[in-house]
Amino acid sequence: MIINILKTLPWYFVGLAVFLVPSVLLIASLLAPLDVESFFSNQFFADKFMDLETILNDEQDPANATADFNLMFAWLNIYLLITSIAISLSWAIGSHFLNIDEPGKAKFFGITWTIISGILVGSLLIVNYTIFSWSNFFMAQQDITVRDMNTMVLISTIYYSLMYWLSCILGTARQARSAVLLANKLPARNFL
Amino acid sequence: MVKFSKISLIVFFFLSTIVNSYAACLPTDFKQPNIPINTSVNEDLKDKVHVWYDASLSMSGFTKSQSEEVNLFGPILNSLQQASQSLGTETSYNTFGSRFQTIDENRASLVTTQEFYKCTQSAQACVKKDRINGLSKVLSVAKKNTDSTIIIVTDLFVSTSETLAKNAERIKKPLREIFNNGQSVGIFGVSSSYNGKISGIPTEDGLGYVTYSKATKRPFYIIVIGSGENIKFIEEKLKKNQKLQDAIAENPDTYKFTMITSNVISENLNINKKVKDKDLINISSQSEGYKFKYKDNLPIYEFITSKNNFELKFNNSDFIVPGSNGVAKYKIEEHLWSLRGACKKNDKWGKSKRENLVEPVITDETLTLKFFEDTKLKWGYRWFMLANVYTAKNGSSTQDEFKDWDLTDSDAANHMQSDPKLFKTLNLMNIIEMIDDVANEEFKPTLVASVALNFELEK
Repeated sequence: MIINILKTLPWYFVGLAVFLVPSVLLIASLLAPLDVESFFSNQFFADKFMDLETILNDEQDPANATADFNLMFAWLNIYLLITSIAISLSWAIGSHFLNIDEPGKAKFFGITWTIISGILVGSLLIVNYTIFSWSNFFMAQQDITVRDMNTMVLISTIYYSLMYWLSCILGTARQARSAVLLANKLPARNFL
Repeated sequence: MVKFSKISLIVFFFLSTIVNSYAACLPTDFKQPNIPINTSVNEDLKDKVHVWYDASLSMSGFTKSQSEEVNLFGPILNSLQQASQSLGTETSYNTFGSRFQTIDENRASLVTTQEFYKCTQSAQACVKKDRINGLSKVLSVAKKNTDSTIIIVTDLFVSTSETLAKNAERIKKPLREIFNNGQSVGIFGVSSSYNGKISGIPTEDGLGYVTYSKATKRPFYIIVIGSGENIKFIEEKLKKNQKLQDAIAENPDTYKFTMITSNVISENLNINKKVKDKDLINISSQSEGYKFKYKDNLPIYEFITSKNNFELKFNNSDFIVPGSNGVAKYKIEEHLWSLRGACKKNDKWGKSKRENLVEPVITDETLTLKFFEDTKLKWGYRWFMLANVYTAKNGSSTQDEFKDWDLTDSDAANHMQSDPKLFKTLNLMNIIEMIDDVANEEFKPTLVASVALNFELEK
């Protein structure tokens, strides 16, 4: 079992890295000071999503507001990343403990994966709305319109769900006898 | 001893920090509003009172007894004379209409008798003089006596020509100055028994004038020009007259009153610190960080809250002249600043460009200022709101009550042909509306109150 887990984990990390690397680079650029040149333009998200009109109307400092906004967005990504990694890694390891070699157990495997995927999407939404609306951690949550907030929630949920999906597809218990799910049909199975 | 000095120094430093921390919490570009200076009026110092009696011949009808109706002219004038004595240090009596002259107390005491109105000239000359009211002359004198209270007793029977063009301007011009001086005009109308001849009634063809002597009742008027408080004082005195009270109980239309003024504000609420901490009704004075203090006559409410809107409620009686037409509309001059984070000295406050932050709600008893009803303020900031409340439009006066007694030039002949017992007053509404129009023309916005809210908004 442990050997199987260790065999699939590298594939899990390959799948994860596809989305993890851009995400980490984005977080790093968001946490960098505004005047520092970075991989991503750290003004991009503020320019795109921040409600600058109200800030200028109240003669508040746009630079401070942008820094606040970046900080909020960085922490949002950190929390989403942690959530995605925690759930996907749990699946990558936990899937090996499911007794799926028995005939007829593939359905059980599929149902469990669907539930875990649902938990992931739910968790991503909870993290998003906690950061953007329910908590009082970030003042910048007031500088985003409801429409833009929902757009950001949708984009980030899709992005981190894809990270989960790809890492799970590659890192799941694909050595099992039963041809379960799409994962077992992937050519990489031959290398396991 | 050295130890004590050190402790004192530390305590002094600590206290000075507390004082400075409050001063630091005001926006950097905040300017104290221009609150009028407290001109403390000596309540005991009374002004002169000038009483003007209309001495026209038709006024004598109020002095003769009339079996069918109650005579209120005598009792009311007695009350008025007593009120005028209480009101001023010195009372002078004058007549207008047929004779424009100052009279002594002995002559004035005859005002409720026929003798007072006796015309010594030829009958034709007396009737001719009776057609001219001469109100404009009295108003011209009144405008010069800005510190005095002017009381005019008249039947207010004004010919149409006196309300037109240059003649109208003769009435309006002194009125403008009267209102400009912050004075008000109170008009009291009392319907009393009448037994005399009313002259100067225009004929249907407009070619001449006729007289009418079948009326048993007719209104007479007391016009008081002075401060709102003095007009109110006279109103209270007149209303205490038992005969008038009985007559009103029998017929409420016996007595009418309206006060017309260009400025209905009796005093700025800041001057005598009439804005209290209890006026902010939805923030408890026991809540965290609550402070209420005056800074150079400006009341500042300081608090920490998670509420998004606040209400300040003032009693109209604290600043509106009692019995006046009140205020129909207020204009709020708003200034809003915000500061990110904790309040430190020399922090740069942002001056907001937002508008319509305060909504005034007017009732008969109160003025409520609703702050931020349609505005969402950001939490995590300190906000400083300064609101200067000005009057924008005076309320409509109760002048319409007098319409029942108004007789227009065109209706005069018909009214006379119907043999009325109560004879109405010619061009009454023309005169009252003229006074009201001038008051509205001379209206200037007045600062009612300036208030500041300095609060930390939490989520």
